[in-house]
Amino acid sequence: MTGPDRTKSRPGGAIRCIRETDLRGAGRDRFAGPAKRAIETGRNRAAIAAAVFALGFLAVAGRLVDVAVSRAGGEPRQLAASKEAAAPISARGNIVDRNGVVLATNLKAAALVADPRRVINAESAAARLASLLPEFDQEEAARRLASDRHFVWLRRGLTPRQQMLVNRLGIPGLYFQQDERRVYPHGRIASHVLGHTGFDNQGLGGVESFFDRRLSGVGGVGRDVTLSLDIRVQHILHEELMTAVAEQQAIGGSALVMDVRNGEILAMVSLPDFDPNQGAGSSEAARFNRNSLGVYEMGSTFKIFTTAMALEYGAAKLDDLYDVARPIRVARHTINDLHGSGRPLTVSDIFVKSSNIGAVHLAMAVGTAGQRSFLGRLGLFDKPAIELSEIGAPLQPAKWREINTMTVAFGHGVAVSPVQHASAIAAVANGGILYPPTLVKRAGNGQALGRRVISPVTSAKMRELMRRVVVKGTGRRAAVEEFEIGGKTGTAEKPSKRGYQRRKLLSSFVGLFPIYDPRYLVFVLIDEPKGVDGNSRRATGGWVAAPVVGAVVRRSGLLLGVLPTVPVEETVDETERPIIKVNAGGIALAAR
Amino acid sequence: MRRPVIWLLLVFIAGTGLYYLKYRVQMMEARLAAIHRTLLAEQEALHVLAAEWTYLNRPERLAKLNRQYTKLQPIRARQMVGFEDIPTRPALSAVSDEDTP
Repeated sequence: MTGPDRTKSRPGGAIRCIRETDLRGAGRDRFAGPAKRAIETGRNRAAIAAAVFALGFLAVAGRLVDVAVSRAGGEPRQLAASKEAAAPISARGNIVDRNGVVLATNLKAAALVADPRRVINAESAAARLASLLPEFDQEEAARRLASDRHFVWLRRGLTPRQQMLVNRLGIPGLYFQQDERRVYPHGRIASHVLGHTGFDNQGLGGVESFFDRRLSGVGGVGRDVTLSLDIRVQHILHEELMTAVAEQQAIGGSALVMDVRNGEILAMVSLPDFDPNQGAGSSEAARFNRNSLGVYEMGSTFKIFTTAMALEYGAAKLDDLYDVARPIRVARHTINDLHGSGRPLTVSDIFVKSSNIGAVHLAMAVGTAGQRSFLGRLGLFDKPAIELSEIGAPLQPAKWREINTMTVAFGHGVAVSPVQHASAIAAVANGGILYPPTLVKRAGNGQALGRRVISPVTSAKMRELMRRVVVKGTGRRAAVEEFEIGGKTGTAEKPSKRGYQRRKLLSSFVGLFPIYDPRYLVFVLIDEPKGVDGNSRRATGGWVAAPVVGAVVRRSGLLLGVLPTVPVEETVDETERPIIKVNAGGIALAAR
Repeated sequence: MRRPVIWLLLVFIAGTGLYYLKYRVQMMEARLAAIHRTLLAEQEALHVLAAEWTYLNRPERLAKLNRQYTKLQPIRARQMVGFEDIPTRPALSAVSDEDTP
């Protein structure tokens, strides 16, 4: 049934049959035998050749479509165009602050080169160049111009103005080459954080050095680095510390502002400093970063750790009384208090009045092993992992004896860098979580990086104690009207080969605000202050460093997004008057 | 006779079309290259301007200019209040309180 139907329905089946018989009929007449076979072979060969050619043409056509239609025709030309327009914008990435303000960038500059064989008068050319360019070595230039080479460097990083002036001289044989120059628009205010760069824009020091590979990038195009710094706060901190160091005729100082909730550093200043635009010309002393490379015996700010340790280990309670009347004599040393107290003090008062004797008692109540492990947990024996090339290793006694436990209790015998000191104090105050200090803006809130070091209960007690220091203790001069600051003073005698020097002090203050829910830590350290009004008895942390912290908090508090505390008496009787007084008392307001 | 004419015509049309196409593509590519050059120049200019803007906005310079030309003072923290501390209209609420028994 299916067979016949299929043959019938096949189109052309019948026709081909007919034609085949026709041809066969005709062929049989004209050709037969060998001739027929030859024709068959020829026809086959022609068919094969045709097929091959057809395939070839198909391939050509396919490729044509591919080239003309499928691919973007302009691609290779674009590349040529951008090469034509000379050098990419800037090879090295920018460094920006947390708000995107440029801290370091690259600008095009001209390099002055010469073909000495075309220079007519080397002596006069060198003299004329020296009259235009500052710090130009005339003799060296004359010597180079007189040489018989084809190419000599004369000066790199010309400013556009200098380039114009040199061009105007019209000296034959001088040429300009395209060059790049690293520029730090803010000058010296963030010098130690940024570091500087060398002749070929390689990072030397600071963030420039630490992120050198990222900034210079692969294949010539570098990536930007966003720091945690806030340039406005940095400016305030720099200005206040400069003023204090100048007033005190101190040999230097360091200061930093840290976010206690994630370890971000918002400002960091070390004095003396340098201008990174002329980085190579600065002295070794000016390039020394006191915040990260310098390690110091901090003095009484260490009592924060001693007290927190005693409370955390349950070795003492806030109301416990200790006899601090008698100096402690151990080995050849005598440990005494700056302002002796005739009566026993509570743990709270030991901290607020900064009693050395009391701190020793607290440390002895815990013991050497406990003290070492506690300080170690706060990261005070390890190098801090901050993004700088200059990091100092903390110093601790090779062998801890009883005397070490005693002196470390009030901050002598262990030397730490301000950066790690600050993050340890931030951990004590922020509820007990230690965050590694960082100069790079954290991607998230950075909470995951934290490590619990003390209990929230101890932390709350320490906040209360630090507030008391500012309200009625040694840190009263840090108090400002607008914000509740808490903190601790520190005055350390600087060590020399023959023991500690009474007249050479490291005076510091560490402040936290708002203290009951701490957001920021401000640390200020002044190296060898001469004392307020030249009175060397007024050279302690409470006198010289605390007011600086207060001033920084007052000026930067709002910028940092901390609302001032509302004093009770003002809000009561101000219902009738408008609270926002614009132009109050003839003082106009500036948004700064 | 008819066929070759048609073919010649087709060849001519195709040839002219191709010529114009190629010519236009070349023109456009030249323009593209020019635009790329301007783009790079503009980016370069932006880069310089950004650096200059930062330089001119240095906090220390702004402070200096402020001292020199204005009588403005920094905002004191006391002058800031939270939104919830801004008083509502006391006069209106007092009136409505009296009106409604």
